[in-house]
Amino acid sequence: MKEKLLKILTDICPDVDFETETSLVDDGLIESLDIVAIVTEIMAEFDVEINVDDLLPENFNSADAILELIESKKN
Amino acid sequence: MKKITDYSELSTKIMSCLKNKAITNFYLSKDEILSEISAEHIYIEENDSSLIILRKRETHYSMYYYLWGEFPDFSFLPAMAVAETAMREKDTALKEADELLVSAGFCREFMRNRMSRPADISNNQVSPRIRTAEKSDFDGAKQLLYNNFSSLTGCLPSDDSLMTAIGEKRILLHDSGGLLHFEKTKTAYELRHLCTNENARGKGIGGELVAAYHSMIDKKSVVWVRDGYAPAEKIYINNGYTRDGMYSSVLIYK
Repeated sequence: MKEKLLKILTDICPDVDFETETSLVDDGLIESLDIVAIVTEIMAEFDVEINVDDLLPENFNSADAILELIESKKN
Repeated sequence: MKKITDYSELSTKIMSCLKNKAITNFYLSKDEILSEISAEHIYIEENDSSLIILRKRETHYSMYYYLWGEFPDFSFLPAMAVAETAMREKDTALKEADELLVSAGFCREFMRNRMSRPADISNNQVSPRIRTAEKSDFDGAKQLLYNNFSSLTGCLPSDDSLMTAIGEKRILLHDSGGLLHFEKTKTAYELRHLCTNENARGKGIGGELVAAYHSMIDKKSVVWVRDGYAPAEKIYINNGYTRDGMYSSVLIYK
């Protein structure tokens, strides 16, 4: 699942190192409009429902954080 | 148009739009949405391929869109709707949506460029002529903002927001007649408004206010500057800001 996620993230923001970065939002490496694009793609790819309540910086600060969000929605 | 009174209804519609891979310029947080709903400021218009969210202001509506198919007929819009879309050069879909809005009857008023300054821990010397505003400064601060910024496109704070900003010490005043207003987000500070009285311009007041603001913050700072407005951009460049690639298009439906 992480590989699929990393591919989605890299397609949206090819200049960002999602494997190592842990402050994607805090350091301004991804913008609000990137988060919308990411949410759109992960909802389609992983068949989960992300809502406005989940659009918090801490949920998108790293690939692992996004993965946790996806897994929490699957459960 | 339908007034929205229930956050979960709007949240569900937004989720449905994202499932449809909609293009959007809507990035309000849950707290901002709740605040606007409780103030009865949120209206929507929807059809099979779009959700339009309108945020009522004193003189106009701010328009946000989710678009995923055929463009709607915007004739339902009340007079004076302002739509601003932030994008970068690589955001092709947003650029296309912006152009399609122009084709659908919106007029492009101007563009803005975002400028950023990294966090700076150096101690800037603050002019003794600058202080944080107090409640008694409300009327003067509001007047200064309304004299210097358009009520349509100037992103002016509501009375409640201005009073809150004063209470949280986010309004700086210069005794020669200048004002700086900033907001704090989780990741950065945003310089929202910088202005001086007309007869006080060219005396370095703007620069002093910006330096004072920088002495108060410990994170990155961003500011949106009207494209082509050299005096403002010069102040920011002189204070360590650079364009960071994000820009916006401001459209009005009249």
